[in-house]
Amino acid sequence: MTTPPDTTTDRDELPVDPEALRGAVRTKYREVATDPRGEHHFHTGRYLARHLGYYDRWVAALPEPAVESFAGIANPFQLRALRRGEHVVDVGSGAGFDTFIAAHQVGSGGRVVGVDMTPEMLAKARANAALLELDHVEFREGLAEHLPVDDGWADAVISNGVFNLCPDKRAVFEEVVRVLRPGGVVQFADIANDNPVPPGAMREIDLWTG
Amino acid sequence: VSGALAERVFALKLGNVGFVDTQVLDRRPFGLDDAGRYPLFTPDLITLMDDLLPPERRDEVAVAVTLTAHRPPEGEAHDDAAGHHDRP
Repeated sequence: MTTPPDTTTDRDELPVDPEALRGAVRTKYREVATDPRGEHHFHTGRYLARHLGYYDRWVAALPEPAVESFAGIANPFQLRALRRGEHVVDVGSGAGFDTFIAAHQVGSGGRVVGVDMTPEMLAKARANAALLELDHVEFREGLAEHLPVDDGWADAVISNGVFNLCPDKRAVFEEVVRVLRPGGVVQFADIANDNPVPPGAMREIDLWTG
Repeated sequence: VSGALAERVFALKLGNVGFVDTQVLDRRPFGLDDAGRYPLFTPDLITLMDDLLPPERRDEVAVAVTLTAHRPPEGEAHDDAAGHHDRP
């Protein structure tokens, strides 16, 4: 297979204004947090999770508010379950769906930090954590490019459908490697596109968020 | 989806910041129906894509991939931008 050209960017050559893109993403996710069914024709939440291969027993244990705003695009746990006692960071944790599954896998001896930039999602995630009475889970406001986590703290970093929404991938991956301990693992799901994206499309924020 | 990377570019970028042993563990075609299940795709956008996409592309608008990569253990070199493996 021929390696396609690197059409993504270095920090000085971002195709869109990062703040404008973040604003658009926050607006979309605010809608998903506050009105998860919204105008969508299809069921989200449990239906989507089952479709993506999450075990029913994982999802059944979660309260509806933790599931209804799920917007992942695959299942980052499917081939490597987290280990008991691990420290985990969930980048773009949303309402906490993957964070809570991670919390279940690492057990009370582990710790999971969810990071999200949308206040409505953070509020929902914290309320869900309270509902589940989880004291080894914490949600912090922050950006994927500036994770509010100490150097080398994490054994694993997870993410689901988030990195494609970040214009500066290098900054994101540098942050992920920074927060991981030596030997730590990143396991994530995202959208891949082997078709070249026209430069004009890369400048259209609406085409990043949908 | 304008910010989506090609699989190989994911591996390249992970390698560039020091990750090793990047593996693509799963690929799932992301079709128009899948897009409809994804909350960020509005019905208007789905309708537009339905109008614009040729029939042969509707089952694979993009691919959902699951990847893992490791930060090298302390003391190990991490020059493995090419250390990308497809899972058999």
